[in-house]
Amino acid sequence: MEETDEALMAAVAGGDASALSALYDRYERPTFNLILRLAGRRDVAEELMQEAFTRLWTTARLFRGERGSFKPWLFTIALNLTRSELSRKRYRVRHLEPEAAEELPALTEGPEALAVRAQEKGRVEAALARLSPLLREIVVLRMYQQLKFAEIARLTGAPEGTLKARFHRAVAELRVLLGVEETPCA
Amino acid sequence: MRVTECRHRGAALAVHFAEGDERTLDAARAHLESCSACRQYVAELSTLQGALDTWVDEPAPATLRARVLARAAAAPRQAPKPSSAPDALPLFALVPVMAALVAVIRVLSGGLEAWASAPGSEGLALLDLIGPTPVAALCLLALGGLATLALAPALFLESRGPRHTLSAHT
Repeated sequence: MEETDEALMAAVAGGDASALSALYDRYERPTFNLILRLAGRRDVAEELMQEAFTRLWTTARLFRGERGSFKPWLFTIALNLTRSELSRKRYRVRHLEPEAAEELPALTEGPEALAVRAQEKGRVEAALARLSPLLREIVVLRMYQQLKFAEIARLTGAPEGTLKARFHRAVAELRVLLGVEETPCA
Repeated sequence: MRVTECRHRGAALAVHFAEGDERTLDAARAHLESCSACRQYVAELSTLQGALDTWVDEPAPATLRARVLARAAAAPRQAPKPSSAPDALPLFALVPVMAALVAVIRVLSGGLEAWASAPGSEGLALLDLIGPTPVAALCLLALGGLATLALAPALFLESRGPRHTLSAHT
């Protein structure tokens, strides 16, 4: 039977490096992509992955292993490291004004599916990069990591209502940036 | 009406993400039946999710695993938290200390008594008043006080020395 995350963390706290490897294998992809989408740079994501798992290793004794609590714990480490990194001036990206969305390449339909897909991905990356960090964070956590608002509230410490308000704002901005039309209804 | 004007647009989130208990979801669905703006919003959320999904999960570099594990292994691990209770001297350890103090006082009081009763000695008024043993205890107390005063600057400097604290995780 596969060991639970919490059991592996108990082993990590005891100095078992193979348990750390097992946790890494289990959470490499979601953690890497969480950081990558928040930071928008692979080199930063790689660096922060190293830092996140080093923190996990060195502070494992502080982990309190209630069932199912490992993933939010790891994500909190990753999120805080990314926030800290993004707060440095060199990574700051300017918030895009709605008019500037015209600079983004337009969505196209065409026979070259891969090329279109790459272009669409590029548009999404560019649009996310132009959101303010808090708006980008809520989009990544809710729409990519599929965490519920209640879970995000526990993870970030922000009230659920605040998170939903941020989400609505993020949607409104992305709608402009990605050209998703808002149709007034009767 | 636009969805931004709808006070119940949280219902659109509940329906789109299927988030909430059955009662919440039923209420949200009921709201959507009567609110075209929120229905439109749900449709836009689906379109937006589709657009965002074009950025699929990317694999981490193959070399990252080794780098991560090597860096973690090289990092010093946080020591277990020290007990919050101060280092208390075991009670039985006080017995020899007390015995030594009593012995010193006895020797000192004996000496004082011998000095006071020696021929030609003028004695000490305090000795006559309270006896040699309390005088010996007072002398010892005075010596302890002087020693503390002498060591005070060094103790003060020691307490102001560099402190090492462990930072909590993130």
